[in-house]
Order: sequence, then C-alpha cells, then structure tokens
Amino acid sequence: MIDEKASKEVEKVVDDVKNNVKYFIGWGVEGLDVFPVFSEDGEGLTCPEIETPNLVVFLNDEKCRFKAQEEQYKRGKCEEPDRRPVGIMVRGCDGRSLAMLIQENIIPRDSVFIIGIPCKGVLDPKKISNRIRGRDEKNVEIKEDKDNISIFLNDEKIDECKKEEVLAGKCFECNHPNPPVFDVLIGEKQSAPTIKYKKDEYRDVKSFEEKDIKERGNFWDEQFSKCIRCFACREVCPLCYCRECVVDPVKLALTPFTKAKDKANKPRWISRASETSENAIYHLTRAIHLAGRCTGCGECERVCPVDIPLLLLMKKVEKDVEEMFDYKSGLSKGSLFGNASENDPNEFIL
Amino acid sequence: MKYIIDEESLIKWLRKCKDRGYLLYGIKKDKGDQRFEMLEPEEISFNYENSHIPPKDIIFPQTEKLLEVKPSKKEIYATVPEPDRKIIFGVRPCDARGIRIMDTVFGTGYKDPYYLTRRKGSIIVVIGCNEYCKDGFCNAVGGGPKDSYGADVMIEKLNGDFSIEFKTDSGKKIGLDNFADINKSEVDVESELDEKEIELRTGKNSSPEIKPNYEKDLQNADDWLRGSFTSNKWVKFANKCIGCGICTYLCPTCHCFDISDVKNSRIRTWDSCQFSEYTVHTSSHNPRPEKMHRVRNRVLHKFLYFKQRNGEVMCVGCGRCVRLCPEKIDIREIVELMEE
Repeated sequence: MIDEKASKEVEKVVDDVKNNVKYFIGWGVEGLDVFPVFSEDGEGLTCPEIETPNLVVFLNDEKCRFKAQEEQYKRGKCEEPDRRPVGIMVRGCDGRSLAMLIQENIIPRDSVFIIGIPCKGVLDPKKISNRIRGRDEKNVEIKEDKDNISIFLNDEKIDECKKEEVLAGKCFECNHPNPPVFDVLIGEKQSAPTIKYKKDEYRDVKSFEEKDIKERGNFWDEQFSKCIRCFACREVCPLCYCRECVVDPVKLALTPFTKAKDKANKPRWISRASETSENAIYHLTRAIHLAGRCTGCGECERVCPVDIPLLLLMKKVEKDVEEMFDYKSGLSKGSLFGNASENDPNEFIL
Repeated sequence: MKYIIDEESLIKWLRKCKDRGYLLYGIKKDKGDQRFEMLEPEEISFNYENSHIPPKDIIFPQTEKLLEVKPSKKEIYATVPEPDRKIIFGVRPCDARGIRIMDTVFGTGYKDPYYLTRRKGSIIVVIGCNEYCKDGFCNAVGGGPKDSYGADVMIEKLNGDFSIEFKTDSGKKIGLDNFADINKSEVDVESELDEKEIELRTGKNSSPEIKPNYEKDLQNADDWLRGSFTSNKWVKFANKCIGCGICTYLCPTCHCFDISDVKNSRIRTWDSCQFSEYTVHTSSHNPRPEKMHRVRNRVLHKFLYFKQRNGEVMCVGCGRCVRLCPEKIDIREIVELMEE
C-alpha cells in the first residue's frame, strides 16, 4: 500500500527542510483511501502506491489566502505573511501540471518546494475494491513483488493478480513518469510505462477515432446525459483556476445605477439546466480551454461520481495539440496560446 | 401481513402493476448502479449496494420547469406536473427516510405543488439491506438496515426468496389489487406467515444481527455543535475541500435549489452550498466567502439547524458523501471532532 522506501526518504527530506518551509502538502493513506494531508512539521506524509489526488489544486487556494493576507498587511491590519515556500509532493503527471502553472505565472517558482516522486504507476482503488467486494477495505494491505500484487486482509492472503490488472487506466498511457520540475527527487528516475507495457500513449483515442461519427456522437450524448453538473471535474483540476467559469451565474453587482450595457456585456452562456446539450457545451468548453494545458493527470475522471470517461476527451485534445503544434503541456517551453512561431505550418498566423 | 415470494413472481407482480398504469423506476442491471431510471420489470437489478445518485431526483428533479411564458398570448402558465402513479422500486431504507425528510421540507409551511404532486403518486418500495454498506452509518442517525420508516412496501431479501409486506394504505392498494390476481393464478404465495415460519422455510433468521461499522450515536450531535460556530477546527476540513457539489448533489436530503430564467421559461435547478457562488447577493456580497464557511454550513444545517426546527437530524447515514468525496472528507469525523 505504501512505498516504504520512498516514504522513508520523504521523511528524511522533510526533516532537512522543514524549517524553511511554511507547511507541507502530501498524501496520507487509510486502507484503500488516499487523502491530502496538510502538515507543518511534515508528520504523516507517506508515498502511497494507490492512485493519489493531484495536490497542485491546493496551491491555488494557498495563493488566494496569501494574496488576501498580503493586502491586509499592506494596510497594516495584520502581521507580515509567512513568505516561506510551501512543500508539495508531486508525481510525473501532477508535476507537469505544476510546471504548467509556473509557466503561466500563476504559481511563482520560489513559492513552492517540490518533492518529486518518480512514478512506478499507481493502482486503481476501484479495481482493487471490485476484486475484494464486500470485505473490510480499511484493513486491506497490498504487497508488491516484481509485477505481482497480493492482497492481504488481517495477514491472510485473499487475492493475487498481475499488476497490470489493477493498474490505473491513465498509467498505461503515461509517457512521462518523472516530474519535469523539482527541488528534490525521491529515488531514481523511472522508465515510461508506455515502453514497459508496450502501449501507445494515445491508444484509447486512436481506437475511438476509428469509429464512425454517428457512433461517436451517440457515445458522448449518452455520457453527457449522465452528468449531474456537480463540477467536481472543474474544481479538482489544477488548471481550471478561472475565478469566474463560463457556467457560473454572473457575479455582477447590481445597483440602481448599473447600466444596461454592463448587464448586456455579462451574458450567461450556459444554462443551469442539466440537459444533454448544456452538459455537452460545458464539457467541450472545458476541454477546449484545457488544450495545450491539460497534462493527463486523470483527476477529472477519478472524481466523477457518474463515471464519465473525461480522460478520453482530454487525451484527444492533447493528441491534437501534439500533432498540430508539436507541443506537450508542462514539458515544452512557453504556452501554446501565448506563442507564435514563424515556422508554424498554418499560414494564417503570420 | 408478510408474504414469501420468489424473484420471478416479484417481477410478475411488478409487470402486473405496470400494465395497470404505474410507472416503474428502479436500478437497471449492468449499468453500474448509478441511478434510478424508468425501466421494465425484467431489467431490474437486485444486486447492488446502493445507487450513486439517490432516488430523490424522481420526485425533486435536478431541472424542473416552473413557469412558461407565451409571448404571443401575453400569458404566463404555471407548469405544475400532471399527477401520475409510479412505483419507485428498490429504494434503500436510508433513502426512504431521506424522502420523508424532504416531505417535511416541501410539505410544511408553504406547500410546494411541484414536489407534492410528484410525491403524491409515488409508492416507495424499500428493499432492506442484509449488511451495512461501506461507510454507511444509518444506525447512528436513527435508521437501520431493516428500517421501514418511509416505506409503502417493505421487502426483505431472504435466502433466494423475498419477504414482502404492504405497510401503508397506498402500499396495500397496489399490493392487494395486483397481488391477489397472482396469488390465485400464477404464483405460489403463502398466506400470512409469522416470523417463525419464515425462519423455518428459509433456514435463516429473517432479521439476523448484523454488525454496524460505526458505533457512535449522532442523533444528539446538536449538543456538541451548538457552540461550534466560531471554532477554529472547521479550517482543518475546509483545507481539504475542493468545493465541488458531490456531497450535496448526491445527498438524499439536500434540497437547495436555484431559480433562473431560460428562454421563455423559468426553471428551478439543484444548488449546492459548497459552490462559491451559492446565495451571492445582487450587491455581490457573499455571506459565505470562504470554504470554511461553506463546509460549516453543510454540517450545521444537517445536524443542528434542521434538528432545532424539525426535531430530527437531516442526515440519513447513506454514506454517499463519505464514499464519493474526491478528497475523502468524512462528515462523521467533523461532527465527532466538535464533541471535544
């Protein structure tokens, strides 16, 4: 369940730097549940082998808090804010989204202390849970031996399988298991699972593209009709940091003096009604907005309570961006939309 | 009155009800146990823990049209739904309790015609649970896996068979009308059986003791929470919260809604107190600007405010908010922490 070796190393690193760090954001494990841990002295940080939440999303909150405090400080209303960096644990995919945020000037590089974890591929708790259906998940222990996984309950072996059977879907398609930016790296760099499992990065997208348009349309209609618009996919995404989303009600202060023009400039693009068409527009807008920014961490798909395969949509956008502009989010320099290149194959740009 | 009936006859009975004009809602086989939907009796699944989305959306749909404007006639129509008759089959005891709580909300004081019309024609068929589900804590909030509060018809799963009991008047009506037919012709239904005979027939105690996985009683949690409004412990949980609507949209008792105008109609849609724009005033003042305020509002509404107003806890212990929370925030943990 926990990568003991890596966890010990994390502990060591944390001990070394904890005086220079405001607080740490890391992972904690209980049974098959992995949750974020916020800790000032670095206690309780572990390095799980199960799918972990992308912690980078919490840096956006931290930034808002810091800004508010800074504002108050300037007015002389509170003490000087703690300017030390925040420690954060990232894997390859999370690391890329953090690199993206740094690139977009949302998170200053010196405000984070990055503990990079080369990823061996994470296990999907849902897949394990299905295998041991009905048993006490809180006391389950998982041991890994080479590529075999054995599941123990109270020291009794209840199941075993190949690692591939319980590996999270996103990990098969991962080409970059090592975080691109880090202050310390725990252990050695890992080789890409795509090579290890001999899978293509865009395997699912490619096979989906081969279907005809009607079939694809029906598939997405069915998926989007399930959506309940809880916006978990948006809230959990580190790159969805817009203060006002296209689906939100308009936050425009209305007074007797508000001009009609101001109101007209704030239309509501997407209705609150949860209908297939409105849901589709929401998801497609989000996908397009994440073009050249999404790093395939798979959080949107993980949290979706109605199991919409959002990663398929995101991977399609990622693939198109890579093919058309030779751009990989979090790894290439500059931002996709902020750059114009003379060698761009599309002539209308220059 | 309790009857013993096998799965085949149960489906036959539902078919009979359906043929007599009842709409049937249930959980479809092989569709991932996600939600209750309209289906044929043959498609009903009996093997599920609980649906991801509670059956509240049949009576209180996520999007509901309230008014329609007909510009050509310069008139406004209220679009109260036509009364219908429906059977909601396979509801778990926790969700049935949730529907009773929603009745209190929409039926006392102002009587909401949209909700009440849909509710009036609904017959809730509860299937009791044979074990506690993961993260379920119905025992802590006054319910239980065999609880029949809120059920019109109560079904219990026995060894392969089902025991069926018609509780309320409307339950008895669909039961006896359509059941008597089957009884005579097609199905082997025993006359009244007492508990002992059920035990004998099935070789299993009809209500075996099942061990809860949560021991505490949260029904009187309002005592602990009364002074907690200014506590600094809320921040601990709010830090983890990402502000999505999963816990509230999937809660069988959450009933907040928002009203907006779309084209030529006025619609009511679910709203969640976890969203940052929840109850933002026209002046752009936000009464709950921070995540901490919003997490606090959810917990206090369930365990304190509602209890003060209506005498019962607004949580039914279905465990969905715990099970499906992206960051594993546990409402029980929050309430417990406030006890200290």
